[in-house]
Amino acid sequence: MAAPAVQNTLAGRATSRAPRTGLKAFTGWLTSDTGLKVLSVVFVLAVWEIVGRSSNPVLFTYPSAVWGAAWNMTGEGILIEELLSSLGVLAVGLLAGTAAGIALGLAVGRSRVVAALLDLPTIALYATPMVALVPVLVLWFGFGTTAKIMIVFLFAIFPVLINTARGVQEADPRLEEVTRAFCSSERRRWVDLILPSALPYIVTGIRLAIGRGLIGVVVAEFYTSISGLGYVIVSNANAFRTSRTFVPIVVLMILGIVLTKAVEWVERRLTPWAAR
Amino acid sequence: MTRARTKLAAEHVSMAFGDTTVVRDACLEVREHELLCVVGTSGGGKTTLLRAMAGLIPPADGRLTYDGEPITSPHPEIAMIFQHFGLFPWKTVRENIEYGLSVQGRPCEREAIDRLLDAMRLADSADKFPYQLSGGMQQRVGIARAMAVEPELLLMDEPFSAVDALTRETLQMELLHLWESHGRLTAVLVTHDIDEAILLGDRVAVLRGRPGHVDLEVDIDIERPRQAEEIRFHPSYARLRRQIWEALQEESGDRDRDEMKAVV
Repeated sequence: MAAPAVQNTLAGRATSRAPRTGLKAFTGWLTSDTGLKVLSVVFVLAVWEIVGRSSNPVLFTYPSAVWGAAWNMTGEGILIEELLSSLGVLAVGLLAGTAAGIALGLAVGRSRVVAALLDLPTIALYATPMVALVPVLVLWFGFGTTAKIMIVFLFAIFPVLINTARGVQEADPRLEEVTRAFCSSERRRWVDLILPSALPYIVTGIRLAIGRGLIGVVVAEFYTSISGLGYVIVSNANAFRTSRTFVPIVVLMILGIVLTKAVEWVERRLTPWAAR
Repeated sequence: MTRARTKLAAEHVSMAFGDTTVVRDACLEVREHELLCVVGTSGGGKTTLLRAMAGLIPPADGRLTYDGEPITSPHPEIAMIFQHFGLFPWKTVRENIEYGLSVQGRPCEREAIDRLLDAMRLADSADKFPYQLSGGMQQRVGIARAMAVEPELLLMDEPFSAVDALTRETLQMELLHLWESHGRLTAVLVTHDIDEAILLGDRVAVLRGRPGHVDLEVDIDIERPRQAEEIRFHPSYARLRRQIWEALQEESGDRDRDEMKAVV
């Protein structure tokens, strides 16, 4: 609780500096959290632009060229179409993986038997590079959408499962005793104690799952029937159209940021009690 | 004073964690409408004994009864106040106070909760979360939550040991007023603070040694209402304090202890 309090005062100081005019107001904004985040993006883009322009265009590219390529590809309709194809796989795989991960994680966290049964399989599958399983999944589910969704599902489920189980186990035993002292039913114990305790851990799991899900989508699109953003990457890379290759890569990055920030926003709305 | 009905009884109760016995052969009676304070040094098993009274853990040996019935699990008529407050961080002050009623599926009248909020001077904090409150305020919520279920028996586990000395005195007086205004609810308070025990208790039981053993029971013959600042000048105060203090200090064997009992 001490750390967030410090953060609060720092943020408070930054905003109290803001309502001044001119250069001071600008430097004040620049040193705020938002300003620094924008600064980091501008810096990376600038360095990329400078280095990229002096490189061989077949091997490397630069932001303004990527922007131009993105504009053209949007006009051709290919970017939106393949993005939607990837998003569909990602959404279904992530939702299914998250739902299954939460359900299994709650069971593991609450039941000694389930925990013991799933311990080794979970570690084995979590530690195994999922890519190694892709040929088997193709064998089972073919090259179509089902296989892609299964791949994303397997990439996403384990961080959610492991974090959820951890969150359930971290529920304060002293509060557990409070629920028992007041004669709580097991159902109410879940509502009052276990789920709220596990929530921040579940969110962390989902955040990790998003990152792994994005990897899963591209891996799936590379190794099964080629489609989606993965297809855009492969087809353009094979043709040495470097700028066009980078467009889906940047789109994936933006997707990662948007989804992560969305989860953070939802978490803040769901946990008003957390001091920040 | 006519002898009141026994509300809760511990008959030769021993408590153990694995091979370690923390309470040995404890016999206690809690009479209706009395506030019994159990004083003991830390590690003496007094919290363990209280948790057994609450039905949270079973005794290793002996028997605990509530209204003559053996205690096997937590009883809805028994409420508990915790040393660590035990508030839910994700519930507001009002929701925390309502917790006991709602979890037992009992109707929860807004006015009743409002009265408790007023009595505990929490009215302005009703919609705050526990992290926004001081330790003293948090324990006020803990007290209000226990009183909200209108218990027949109130168990208090060192309720004021986690707050600062000044807040402690205020809370002790508030608890005393609340207790008196609730028709002298039957209550057990566990503490390591002799002054607290004398200020609050009708009787004081001393749990001494390792494993803890009930060594001494004294009536606190100081009339109520009591005031913290005045009670120290009461003629009986010094005698009671010394009697309890000596019982706690005594590190002798069983024979000596029996002699001391005879003296008392």
